Amino acid sequence: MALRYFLRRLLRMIPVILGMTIIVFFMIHLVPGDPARTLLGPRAPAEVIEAFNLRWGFDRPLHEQFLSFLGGLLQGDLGTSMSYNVPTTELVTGRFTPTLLLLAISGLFAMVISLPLAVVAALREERTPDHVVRVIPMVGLGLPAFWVGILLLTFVALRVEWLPVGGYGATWPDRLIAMILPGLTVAIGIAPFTIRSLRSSLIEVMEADYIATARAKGLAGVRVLWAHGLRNAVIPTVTVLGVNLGWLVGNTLIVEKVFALPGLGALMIDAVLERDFPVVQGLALIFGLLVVLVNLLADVVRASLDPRVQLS
Amino acid sequence: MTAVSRSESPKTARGRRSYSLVMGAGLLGVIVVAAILAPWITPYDPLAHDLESILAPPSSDHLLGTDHLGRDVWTRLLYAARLDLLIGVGAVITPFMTGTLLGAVAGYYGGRIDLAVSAATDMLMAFPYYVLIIALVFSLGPGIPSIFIAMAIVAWVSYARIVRGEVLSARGQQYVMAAKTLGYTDLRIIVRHILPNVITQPVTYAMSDIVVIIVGVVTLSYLGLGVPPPTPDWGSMIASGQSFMTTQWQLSTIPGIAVVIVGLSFSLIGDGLTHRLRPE
Amino acid sequence: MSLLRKKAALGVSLILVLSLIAAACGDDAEEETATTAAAEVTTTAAAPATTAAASADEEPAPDDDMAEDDGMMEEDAAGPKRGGDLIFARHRDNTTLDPGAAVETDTIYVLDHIFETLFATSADGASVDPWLASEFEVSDDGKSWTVTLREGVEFSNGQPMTSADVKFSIQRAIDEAAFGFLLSAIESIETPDDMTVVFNTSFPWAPFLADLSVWAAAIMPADYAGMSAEEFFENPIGTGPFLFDEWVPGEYIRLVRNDNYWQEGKPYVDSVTWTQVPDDNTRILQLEGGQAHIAQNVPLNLLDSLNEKEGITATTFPATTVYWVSFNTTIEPFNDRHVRRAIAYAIEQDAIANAALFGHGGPACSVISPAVPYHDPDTPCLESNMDLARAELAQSSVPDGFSAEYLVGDQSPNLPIVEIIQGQLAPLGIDISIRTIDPGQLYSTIFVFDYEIAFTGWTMDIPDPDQKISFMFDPELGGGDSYSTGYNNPEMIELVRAGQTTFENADRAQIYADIQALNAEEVPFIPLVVLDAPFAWSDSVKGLWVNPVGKRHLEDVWLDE
Repeated sequence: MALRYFLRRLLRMIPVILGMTIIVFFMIHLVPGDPARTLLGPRAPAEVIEAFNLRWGFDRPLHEQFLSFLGGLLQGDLGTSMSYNVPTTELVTGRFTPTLLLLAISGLFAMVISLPLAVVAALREERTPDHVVRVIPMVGLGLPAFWVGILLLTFVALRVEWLPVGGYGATWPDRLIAMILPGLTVAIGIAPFTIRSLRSSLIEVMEADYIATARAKGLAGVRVLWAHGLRNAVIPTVTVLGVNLGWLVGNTLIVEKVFALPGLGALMIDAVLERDFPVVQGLALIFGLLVVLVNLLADVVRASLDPRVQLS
Repeated sequence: MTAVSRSESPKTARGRRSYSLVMGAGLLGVIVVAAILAPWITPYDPLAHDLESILAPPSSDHLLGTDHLGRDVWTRLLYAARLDLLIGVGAVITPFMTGTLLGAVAGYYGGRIDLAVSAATDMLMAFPYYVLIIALVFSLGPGIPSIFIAMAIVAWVSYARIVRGEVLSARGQQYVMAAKTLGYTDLRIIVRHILPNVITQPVTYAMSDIVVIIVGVVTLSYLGLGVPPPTPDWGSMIASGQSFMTTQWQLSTIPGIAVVIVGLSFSLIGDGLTHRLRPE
Repeated sequence: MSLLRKKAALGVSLILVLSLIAAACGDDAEEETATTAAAEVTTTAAAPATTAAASADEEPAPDDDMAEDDGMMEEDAAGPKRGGDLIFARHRDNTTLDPGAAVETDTIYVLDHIFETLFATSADGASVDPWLASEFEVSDDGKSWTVTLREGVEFSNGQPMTSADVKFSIQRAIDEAAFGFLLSAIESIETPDDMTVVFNTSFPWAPFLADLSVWAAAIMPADYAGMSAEEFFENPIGTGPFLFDEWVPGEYIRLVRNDNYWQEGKPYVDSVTWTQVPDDNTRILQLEGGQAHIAQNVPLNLLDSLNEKEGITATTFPATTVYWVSFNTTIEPFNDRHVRRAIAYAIEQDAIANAALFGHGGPACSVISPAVPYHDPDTPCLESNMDLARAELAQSSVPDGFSAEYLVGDQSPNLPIVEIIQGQLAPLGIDISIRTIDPGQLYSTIFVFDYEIAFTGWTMDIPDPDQKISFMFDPELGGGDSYSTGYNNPEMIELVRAGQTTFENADRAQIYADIQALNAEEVPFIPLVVLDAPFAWSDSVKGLWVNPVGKRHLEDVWLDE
């Protein structure tokens, strides 16, 4: 059952992935004007432009370019980096671990931050704690992640001896510690969304029949929530994180840069600054795929946790 | 994001929401007025270097001190508010209109149009927000026009989704049926009858979207992809102050606080509007 | 006159000239700029006499010289400790492991520890000492140089270094290296025995020994020790104190101790890891947090406050760095000298130095830094004068101004300097937009002329101005399209070539003075500031020193942890 569900979800992804490929391709290629001029600058000499066009095939018809891009993709070829002159795939390989680690830690932190706040708000609905918690996302939404990162680096990392000030450790324990502040930064960025959604979900859960029954049995709010609600609240939390995954991943991009983590996001920003379009293109696609895949994973996890999700 | 739980008791909620609307509007009003009146509030030119008094601490001459080029930080903060607010509000207009329209059409007609719009939103939403924005600004080249275009391409999706859902449920309602039987054109039904009834959601969403866009612009500028120097902007102010964080912490901290306050004011307005505009 | 006598005579004349230059440049520089850079120059430049003499006559013992010169070893009464992994945080990464392909300093400073050269810049940066060579003789006609190799030098794979390796390496540099043009005067290389190499030049070549000290003339095993060039540079073998271990582009490059190193007992540390930490602040914060032992390119504004922190030393080493505005003179309007001159008049070097260098450098007028031989303190530079700037622009093709993009590597202290210039040019109607780029990518961008105005500069690699001057002004033989400005002036080219073949020092000084004056008039490069090299390190690092051409010599460093 689960396998069939998984396969069907997988099948449904194919058109989405194809569409994303088209978007990424045209994003770079449908820019008004000459891509070589845009990328090499208005002052590049004619022979450099010509060599560039020849090398990247910009002088060919658009559909041919797209087909060769697609053909390359199917063979696992994302093009060659212009600034490092190595295949993009090679450049990207070592960069996955920090990004995935950061994503996992941020997700965990986001849960740890949001869940208690959402629970308090849900239990004290429309009372002071709820109002206070509802203000948090309003402040949080306007927090630029990079700014939070800078503040944490200066005012926390510098004062707490065992916290590294940016960078990625050499050993696994070091790396986990190195993820604490970046993870916190990303989590703060996503908390406005997760707190709100979780609060609503929890209120729904508490109004559900079985909780009402439990309450009728005389259990106090917190215990009801603990015994029944919270367990069921984990499922919406996973869902909420899944829905906001794009935002989460987007923030890791910026945060990696601020904390000097050698991940995919920092690579993408560097590639943009260096006008290294094959790498930008490749990474945009990788990030898109990452979100789709993690969402699939979240769906599958949820499906196996939650008997109410129909697998058939 | 501004979805409101259905379980609130309407009376207290409404009272509190009015309160947040007033607070938000007041806060924003003060900022907007200060931004507009910037040339009269401060005697300094936001671009003029004063290399004799660089990195001055806050004083009566320079309320928030000066930056690494001797420019008055308070002045730059005010002028940055002009630009960043303008971009935030300006960049939301196009996606709001296209998104609402596409969402309405998709929801009203269904079928292939709906399929196409939904597919586009699905695919665009699969990309992380910043990945899309950064890639677009990359191919368009840095600068303010690119920001507008990038936001227009990316941000319409949420409006389309919200409106499509609303229209889908409105389509079956009596007033729409009635309009149809009266033989009104589809356009008239959509614009005159359906949209006024579903517009609350996208409008309140736009309030948080403005915040997201301002944060996005500031982030792009921080990365060197947004507002080019020396034009004052909160993001580039934070970026250039960063190397002085250990000695002149206010340089990077204060523009960030400005972003947060602006964000808070729009969120409060959105929160208040949610109830104010909710149809009875 | 026998060869040996001639050698001694050359040594003495070199001493005299260098001392004269040192004295001259010291005095004037102090009056003119009174900056720390200039002050450092006077003290360090007085030293070349001893090293130059020593190197000509005796077996050099670089470590001893060093101890005397710097006094840094004295504090370590117990003697250096072995072991430890040194972490060196820098703002940009290597671009290659091939000395032939390397062009920018941070790549070179790593390769210096894998490969070595026959001659090396002395501790004071004013002359060269024999390094992998032990002695040299020059023929009477100045066209034949006989170099004896140092005994007991082995490559990191244990293979002894012979004259065949030297011949192969130098020939490869001539044929393939980006800076091979420096050695292009070599007509033939002979190897009479395993330990002797004879270089025959086609004409008397004044900066020959200095040119042999350039990184591109690195000695590697003949025929790449049997590998293909590609294989070899994936895992290079040299005579240096460290051998290559791992390179993760964009993250770090690590070298480990070469147990076959010829300097007995060195290096002290087990490994050196250069980490790439592009953000200035993060780099400093990592040093403070103990994640890095040494940080380079410390923001100048933080240097003093950092130095006050417990456990950290933050200071500058005297350097030969000059930064300038450079123009793409192949395009309009920068092919118009009036435009360049107008910009030069509008720029106020003093204001830049005061606001952006925080006392760790000074304004520049000449393209040759005061710390370098043949610097002319009397270079007739265009004064800073807005009226003259307007008048000059009025004569140009764009009298009402124009817009231009200013390309700058994103590293301290470049950006503030460029912002100040942006402000200084605005009154002329010149609207500058700033394009920042990863410093590691700056050169690959300007080498394809993808820029209008760029922020570039030069730190000397050898103690002779020829390398830099040829690169900057000789578009044909200098190997770099006049440092990618495309500037092509026959008068200038003639001067550059005369500088290479003139042995008489007074004449050479005059030639380089003319070159500096001609640049000041035509300004394809507008010198902005001279700068010392800012470093910060934790107290556990002992014996760190950086000579004025930027060589780090990490084989002398040890860790007391």
